[in-house]
Amino acid sequence: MNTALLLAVGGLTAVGLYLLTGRSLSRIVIGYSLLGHATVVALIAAGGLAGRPPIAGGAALEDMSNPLPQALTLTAIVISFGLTLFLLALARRQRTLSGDDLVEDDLEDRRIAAAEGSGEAGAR
Amino acid sequence: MIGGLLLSHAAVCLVLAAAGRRLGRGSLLVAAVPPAAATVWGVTRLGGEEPAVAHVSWVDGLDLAMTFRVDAFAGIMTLIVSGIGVAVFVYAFGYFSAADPAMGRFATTLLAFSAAMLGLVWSDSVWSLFVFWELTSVTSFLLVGHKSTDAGVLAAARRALMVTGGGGLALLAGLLLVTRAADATLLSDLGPVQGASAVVGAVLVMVAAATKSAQVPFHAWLPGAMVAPTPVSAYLHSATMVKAGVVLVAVAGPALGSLAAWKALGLAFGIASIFWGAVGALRHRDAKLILAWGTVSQLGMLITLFSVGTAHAVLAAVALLVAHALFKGALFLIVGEIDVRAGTRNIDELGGLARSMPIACFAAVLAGMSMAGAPPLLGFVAKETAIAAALDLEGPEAWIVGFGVIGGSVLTVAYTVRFLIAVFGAGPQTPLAPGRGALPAPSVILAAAGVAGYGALGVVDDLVGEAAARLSGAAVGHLHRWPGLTLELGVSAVVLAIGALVGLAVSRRPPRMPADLGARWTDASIDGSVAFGRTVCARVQHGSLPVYLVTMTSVAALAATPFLADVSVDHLVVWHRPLQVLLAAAVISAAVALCFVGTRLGAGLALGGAGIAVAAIFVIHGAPDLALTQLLVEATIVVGFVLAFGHLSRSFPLTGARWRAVRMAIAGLGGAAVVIGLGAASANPSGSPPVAEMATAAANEGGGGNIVNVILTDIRGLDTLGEVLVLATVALGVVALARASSGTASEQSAGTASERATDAASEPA
Amino acid sequence: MTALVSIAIVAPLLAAACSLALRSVPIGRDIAVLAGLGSAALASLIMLATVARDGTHTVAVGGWAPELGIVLVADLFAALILPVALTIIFVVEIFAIGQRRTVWAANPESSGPLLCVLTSGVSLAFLTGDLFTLFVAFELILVSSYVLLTHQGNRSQVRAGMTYVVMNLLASTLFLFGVAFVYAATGTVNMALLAERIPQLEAGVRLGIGAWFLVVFGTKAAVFPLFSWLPDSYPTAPTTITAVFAGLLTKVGIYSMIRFHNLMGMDDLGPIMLLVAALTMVVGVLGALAQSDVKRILSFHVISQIGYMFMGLSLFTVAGTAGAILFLIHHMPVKAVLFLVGGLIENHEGSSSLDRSGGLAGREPLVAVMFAVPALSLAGIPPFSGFVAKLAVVSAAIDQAETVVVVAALVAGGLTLMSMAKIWNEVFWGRPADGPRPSPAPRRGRRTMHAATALAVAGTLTVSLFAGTLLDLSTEAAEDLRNPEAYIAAVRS
Repeated sequence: MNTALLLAVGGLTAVGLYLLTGRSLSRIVIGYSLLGHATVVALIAAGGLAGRPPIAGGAALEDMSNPLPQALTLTAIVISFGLTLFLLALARRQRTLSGDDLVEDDLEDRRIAAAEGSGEAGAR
Repeated sequence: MIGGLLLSHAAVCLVLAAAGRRLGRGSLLVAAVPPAAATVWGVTRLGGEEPAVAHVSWVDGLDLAMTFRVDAFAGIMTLIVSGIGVAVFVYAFGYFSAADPAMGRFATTLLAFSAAMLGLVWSDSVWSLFVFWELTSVTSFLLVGHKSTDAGVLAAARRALMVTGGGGLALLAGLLLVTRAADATLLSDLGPVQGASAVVGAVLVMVAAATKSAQVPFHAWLPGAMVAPTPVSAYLHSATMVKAGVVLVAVAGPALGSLAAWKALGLAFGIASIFWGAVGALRHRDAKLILAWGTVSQLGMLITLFSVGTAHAVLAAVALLVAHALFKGALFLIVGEIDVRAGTRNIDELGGLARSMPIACFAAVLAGMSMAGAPPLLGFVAKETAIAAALDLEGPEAWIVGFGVIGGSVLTVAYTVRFLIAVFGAGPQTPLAPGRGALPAPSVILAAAGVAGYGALGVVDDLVGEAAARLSGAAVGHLHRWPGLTLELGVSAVVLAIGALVGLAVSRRPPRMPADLGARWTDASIDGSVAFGRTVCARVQHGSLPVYLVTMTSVAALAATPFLADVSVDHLVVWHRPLQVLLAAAVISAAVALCFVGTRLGAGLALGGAGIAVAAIFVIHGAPDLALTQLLVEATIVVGFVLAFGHLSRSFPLTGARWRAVRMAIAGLGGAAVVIGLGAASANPSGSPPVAEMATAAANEGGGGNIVNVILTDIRGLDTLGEVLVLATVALGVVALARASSGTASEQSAGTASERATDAASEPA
Repeated sequence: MTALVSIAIVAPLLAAACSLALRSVPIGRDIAVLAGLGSAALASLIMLATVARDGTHTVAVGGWAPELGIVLVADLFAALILPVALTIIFVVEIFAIGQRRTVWAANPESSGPLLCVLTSGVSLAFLTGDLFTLFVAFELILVSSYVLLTHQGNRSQVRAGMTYVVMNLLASTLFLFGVAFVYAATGTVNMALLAERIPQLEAGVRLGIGAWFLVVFGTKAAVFPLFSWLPDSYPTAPTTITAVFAGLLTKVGIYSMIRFHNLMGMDDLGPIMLLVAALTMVVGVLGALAQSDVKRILSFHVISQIGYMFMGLSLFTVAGTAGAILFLIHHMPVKAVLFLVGGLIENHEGSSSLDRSGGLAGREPLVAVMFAVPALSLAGIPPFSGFVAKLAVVSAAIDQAETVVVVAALVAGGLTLMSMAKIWNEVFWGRPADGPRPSPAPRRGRRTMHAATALAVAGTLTVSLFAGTLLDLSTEAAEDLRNPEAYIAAVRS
């Protein structure tokens, strides 16, 4: 296992999580993007050592990097790309509706919590 | 025949459900047909030697089966359930007005209850007993809530459902434990059980019986259930359903009776209820409530006697069971008739009814005498036997049971006297509506049956004796029409005398109106769980996405802790290519920069930088395709990011320092979890990826030089198909959201109808 | 068999394409969707019959060896669950067609095709024998659910959608990390090979992987404390969407856990999982008691009921797993029906809020009955399917003397009954709410909605009627899951 890659994964994950847990939608998008990087580097690192590009005839079998994680990673990159785009569209819609790009709390949850806090819960 | 009778109940239920509206009040008469058939069948079987049996398997893997066995005791219960059922249906035909639109529904539910009750008393498998037990709870809920626009009625229905439903859960657990301890699920196979889990099971079964039979402290639902129409009160809440608990104690007696906990708990429930119920009956001013509290007391007596479990006590209990069904059913029907005609059940407003309703008065006196245990009625015989059974006992048990039975009898006489005087005694004449044809007959028949039972005691003795013998598993004595000059007769005379005096005293000087007698804590515990739910909900479901995400990350970090056990550094190398270190540093610094960068444009640039560095890592790793894709994707995202957020204020919002620290800590833990997990997982792999096989297979069979491409298009083509679909779906979603943004007003309103409802409901009060 | 498996996965996709192409022809659109969903459901039923008779079938996609390519596995577990899921989607789509003309309907142009994509993802998730393909299937299901949830783009949907999307994105990220762990430790993502190789790992790594995937699948399944996304998002979607989500999505998570954690022999995690199960059951139902909207109440019950299935799984016995499978079969239709009835309530009362409805039983007795049956089933009242399922898991737990979780299960059952009684009291009994009522759906649409709901109710009754057979099949499926040799052999051959 390659320590440099491992640390890159850890760093990306930590920063990604930090940004994801913010209230600003743009930070959430950035955070998810970083987490996406972290997963693909993790998959590549999990697949083994660095090597020559896996092209038949281009490299000896034993020098070749593991092609399977690359294929998986490609799929993962494209999927997370799609989801990032969707997240952006959602954020844009949110901005149209509320005028800012902050994540809102769920109203009904807040209502119940508020009723609980002030002790005026309407008994049913 | 058993199956046929149950199916005929079900079939008529279906007919009524479909045609009830058209039949109107006539539904009630149609509904009386199946119980009448069951009654006839029950009568023809009386005294038969062989029990009737039926069996339908359902879920063999859990020993769930509908197994029925109609023996002597079940035969008696059949007559009570279906016989009184017929009387109640006929009575209800007079009780309700012809214009009532809900008659079809009412008749359907009442008949469904009748069928469930039959199923219950016929059950041999504990599981079929349980199935019908729960059905009676549900139908009872529906019947109590018949006048469903009244908030008080709804509260009472809920209370009845929750108490009996809670008992159902205790029964479920209890039956699971008991059937495991006994290794049998048929009541007829259950032998005496032992062991800790059997004791727990027995306690749970007894608790279940206590909820259903309204024993203190689970009694409050029964008086509450008096908001139901009187036919329901007479049928479910005095004659049959509340007896289900008693029946359970009776039929489980052979298996559980030998456990001390069973008997002790049964006596505690029973004796507490005898007295508390009688106190309630002496205090209330609503004639129906007086009867209901009396029922609590009488059920306590039955539970006490069945818990004692001696042959003598069981004989008394079965006799009392029959007598109680007759006299209490009759009294309820009479009160209902008074309610219909006088428009009130309050004893303060009733007067002169002895003169204006002579037939009802006569029937009430007969039934009341039976309740008080006076000759020449069946109640007298039952009470004599009960006292004799108590006197038979030895040791402290004799004192406890004797105290309960004798004390209870005194109070029973007292509240009977009070009831008769208050309802039928002198006072200003209550104005009455004209009588209705079908109303008086059923109550007279039930009351007269008490006399007839006394007259034909030989027949009753045969039936009751056989049932008691089957339940107690021992030879039982006989019921005596007149015990002769024995101790119990003396006790009985004293009981009648003292009871009558107390009753007179209480009616002369009315006791103060009762404080709450138990409904409050029942409701409080129901409301309490709702309030507790609200507290829990406010804690865990606070509606804030960041907190949810932090929770999830912490849980993931926690889940990674097992990896710590196998962390090793032996397999780690710092780099394979020196450039990797540099690029890792670049990626991390670009990421960290993203936390501090203040403008969106800067953020976009740093994001792009991180993406390019990752792409470079791919190149060095030997994955050029990946790098290319990564660059393309990254460029698109950065452009999209700037497009989506370009017009906004340029700085990120600030958050509280403490919360930021928590986020940082948890995010750090999350990063560490991934590092540790990956490090530990790669330390000592149990298999290796088939790189060479993959390359060879791709080159030979896939026919492509670029192995990654072969994998994507052929070997794992299914994944690629999925990936394309994801993109296509995202495209649909982006288009839909864009269209919603530019949509016309009418489209908007179509989409937001539910939202308006939600938002309006969510306005903080 | 290959044909059946392909139909289950591909037919809905073709339908989606046709339906998009026929966007402007409502009838053609609906027929395409129904045909796709219907043929998938039919194929899955035939698959069940075949698998129950002949045993596990495998399909190596593209004919590659399991070490290299993707294998689809139709074992009894998959074959049992798949028809239930696909039939539900089919019935819900009929309801959706009836609901068209109301303000509560989803946008028909995109919801039909999206539902088809989701169906295809569900089939793939149930049938795949490959961990990474499972990830792709999850994403397919999730992305279509994201779009279904937010495609109308109103404010509460976008707000809820944000929570739902971001939480699930994090879960998907964790899934990929999990794949990386597994691949680093074993060098494969094929589940049969994993079933051989994961038990050989050191205990720490093995349990770490197991616990990590509990978080991944647990988030999809909405177990404590990972459920928060569910009650915030489900109630905002149109009824038909919510019915499918509630019936299926969390169950895919449970399904994956039953498969993964049994095959990989994660029995050591049992004790902690039982604790989670107990908390899930109780906290979920307590949350439901706090709510005052039918759809929100039902959403919290989804969580609580997941606890029962999780409990059966966590016992790691054949009886427990069989109970969990039976519970799954019972729960999917019951929950979907309840949400459909929620839709009927909305249609008749103008709102699913308890405060704004009352006395519906008098006006619409059929709706009342169609609510009562699944509601009682949900509360575990006999003779409905919920009783048998609850009895199966509880009795399995009693066999293992797991008192805490048994008590939790019973308490949760009682509180569920209370919660159902609350809906009944407030919506079906009581006084009708004041104020204007929106005009209900046109007559024909209403008939379609009622018929679809009645069909679904009949489905739940069928489950309880044949509970014996279903439990036998579940037990057989559970035996296969607990002893993965057969699974491995089937994939290897």
